Amino acid sequence: MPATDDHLAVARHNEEFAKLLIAEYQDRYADWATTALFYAAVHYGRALLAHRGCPTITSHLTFGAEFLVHTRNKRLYSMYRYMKDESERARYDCSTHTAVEVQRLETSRLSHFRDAVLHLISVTEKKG
Amino acid sequence: MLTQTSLAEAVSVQTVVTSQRRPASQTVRSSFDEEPALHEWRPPAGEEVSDDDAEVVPLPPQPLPVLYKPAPQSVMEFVKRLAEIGTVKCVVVEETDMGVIHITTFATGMSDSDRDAVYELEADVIEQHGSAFDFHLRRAEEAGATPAMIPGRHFFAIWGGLDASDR
Repeated sequence: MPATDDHLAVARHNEEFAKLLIAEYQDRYADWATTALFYAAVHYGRALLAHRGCPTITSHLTFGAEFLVHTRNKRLYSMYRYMKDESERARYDCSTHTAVEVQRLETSRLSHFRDAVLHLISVTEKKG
Repeated sequence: MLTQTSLAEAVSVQTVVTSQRRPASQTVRSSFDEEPALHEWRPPAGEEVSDDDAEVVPLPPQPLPVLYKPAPQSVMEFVKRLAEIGTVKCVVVEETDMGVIHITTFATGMSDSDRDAVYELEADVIEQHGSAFDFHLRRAEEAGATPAMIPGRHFFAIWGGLDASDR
């Protein structure tokens, strides 16, 4: 089972990949940049659950619901769901994303999600 | 409302009476509920038995799967509340083989506030009924056509087509 730091490393990795795609290719691979941001959120979320000692989530299907059950934070759930839907739009509905939209997704959703998760992890570490 | 077979309940059956001669007054019961079992054991006519004849054998707790099954009512409540959001066109509900309830909401011209309203309703369902849900929110104009049913146990709750004029 990956530890908190393992998930955080993958989250940052995915985030960097999204930024690289936009920096190098602008709109061309904005769909995959969107998906990379979503998977960054997934790993930030899993990092928090791992940090709290939650049971391993074996099904990706119910991750969002499990995340809410364990965190009881509707605001974070809403951010996660927004990024999930944007990723699915890009992957399944052939939606055209732009670099501007990816940057907006990063600043309006992922950055808040990430900062909140890191804050919650650090608060717990200080208490420990 | 969830129906649930909890691990605690399941493992609470730790002893059973195994004897060919069971006390006449004893009724076989299940710890899963308060309903008596299907039959009541009685000794053959003319035979007398006592509690001394019963052999109590402890059984170790057995790990059993914990099953969550969201009742349809939870889904219907969600759908009713969802219908109050003007941009929502329809919702498709499917139960997967793994028991996960897959719910996809289709909407047109959604604003971010509409989306947040849908996510809020989803969160309410999860908080009240557990985590056996997989929610999706899709743009009807991008999905197009009519949602296709998949094999297996499922049900639809649709109050309009995906075409905006059908609403």
